[in-house]
Amino acid sequence: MTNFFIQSYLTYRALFFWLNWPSYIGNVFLVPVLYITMLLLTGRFANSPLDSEFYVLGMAAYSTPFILIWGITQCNYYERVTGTLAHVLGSSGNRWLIFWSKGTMHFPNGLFTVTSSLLFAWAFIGLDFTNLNWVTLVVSVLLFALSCTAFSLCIGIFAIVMRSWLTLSATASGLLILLTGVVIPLEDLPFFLHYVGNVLPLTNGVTAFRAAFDGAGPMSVGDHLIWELGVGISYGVLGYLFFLFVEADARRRGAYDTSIL
Amino acid sequence: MVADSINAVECVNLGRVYSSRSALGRRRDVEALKDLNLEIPKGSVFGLLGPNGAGKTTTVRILSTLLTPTSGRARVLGYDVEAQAKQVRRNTGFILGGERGLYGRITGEQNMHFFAALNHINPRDAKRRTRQLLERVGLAENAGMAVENYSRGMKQRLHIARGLLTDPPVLFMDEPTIGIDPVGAQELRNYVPELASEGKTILLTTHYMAEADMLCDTIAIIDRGELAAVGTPGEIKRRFSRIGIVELTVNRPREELAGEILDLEAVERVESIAEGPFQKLTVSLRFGEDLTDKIVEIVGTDNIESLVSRDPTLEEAYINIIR
Repeated sequence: MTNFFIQSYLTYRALFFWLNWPSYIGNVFLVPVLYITMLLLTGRFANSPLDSEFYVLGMAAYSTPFILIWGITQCNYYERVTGTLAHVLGSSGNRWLIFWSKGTMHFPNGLFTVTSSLLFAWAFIGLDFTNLNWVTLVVSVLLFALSCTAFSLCIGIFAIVMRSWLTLSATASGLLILLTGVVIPLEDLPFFLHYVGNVLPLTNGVTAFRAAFDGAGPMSVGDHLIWELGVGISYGVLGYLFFLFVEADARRRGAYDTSIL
Repeated sequence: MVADSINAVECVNLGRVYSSRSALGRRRDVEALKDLNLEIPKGSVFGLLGPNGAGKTTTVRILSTLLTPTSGRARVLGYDVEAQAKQVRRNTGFILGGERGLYGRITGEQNMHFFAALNHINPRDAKRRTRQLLERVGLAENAGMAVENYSRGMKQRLHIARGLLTDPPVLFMDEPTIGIDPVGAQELRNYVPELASEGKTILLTTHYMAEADMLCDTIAIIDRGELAAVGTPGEIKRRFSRIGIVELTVNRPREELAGEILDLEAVERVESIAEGPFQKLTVSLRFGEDLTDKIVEIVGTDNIESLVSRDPTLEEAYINIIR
């Protein structure tokens, strides 16, 4: 286990290019604040029937996949372009641990960013914590951070294959903002997109997260929490299987250091 | 099942075809290796030589499990590189030339710790082994420096240290001295006999003939994916050069000299270069011919600063094989 954490820590230090103060503070703390403010003002000027809290909580939750997707895909991308991928896969390292080690140290970033977003909303927008059920809040945040980490690791394998992280991250983040109910209520989406939303991370977690502010206990949103966990596990297993497939395919095609994969 | 073989590496009819498709879907196959048969005895230093695209790196990549063969089979210490890839990885280290393959943003020491963790070395042993290896390759003082600030030679030494982390009995070194200055390259070459004396089997690919001549017990020359020659450096020179060399330094350079000597029967090639105020001619003759008198006659006795007949070098034998 110690070796897993050494791997996770060093791979994070080595490949997370936002790990300098301006980039880190900008992306973990400032970007979510700007998103929250922008959506809040847009909602107000558009005379949205939804209250401010809907946008504020949605965007606070959305800050988690934002930092996770962009952070994890760039680590996978840089693993390939710096030429270290061949050395990692040429080692006798455990593939399951290699796969998860790319996300472990990013997971806390997902928690930091949602926490700081909530603090901002409380201090400057007047987010009401009076009815908050803390247990539901903590469990829902932990679960959607987990499922978003697994989703990002899965997307990250595409970053290895496509040797691109910007397009992928932008597409995945866009997909989540549109289809998970953080800005547009799920029931307002066409019915088939409703189903798509349910197999994405965050969708059920954000429902439980919002319910926590209305005082809902964990049992009353249990189905959403279990669904969020299931989505996370599914993406974790899917991503790992995809990682094994990409490794085998790269060995077959000889594509570790070439542009063809 | 692991065979108790005297060979560390065995390739039997090993082949590799790279396939790609054009934008219109047309399939294009490139045969990088064709029926390669190699046997590398345990504890030996084996050189793999060949021009660019000959299949050297493909061979190393297959043996280090980064690539699967499309035909034939390869075994390392008796383990099949496809079916028993995990065991092969546990017993081999690979050292690639060039600046890539290291984490630039973390220190040399952290790079070592990362790969130690990856290879299941417990943290205490990893620290001890890292210290020993960085000391050995002369990087102990720079262990705490970010690798992106290392010179190319330092990065190459770190590659070597990393390759030795698991103390593997078999080492694959793919052009380890490429792009390094002569002093740095010489330092790196010194590790090869040192590692061989510890009983390690080393497969070394290189473009540098002098390096192969100096370091390897056995050399294989591959060209366009096929084995063209194999033997000790001495055997290769004797068997494949089929030429004799006369080297002479001329006092009063004359451009036409090379052409006049080339007109002699049994002369295969003449190279002419300026060396300060002199002209240096290297004449390749058919094996067994002695044209010294005729060459002296053309050049003029009083015009010759020096004249030496010598055996061909490995490079000359190599050129003869590849042409």
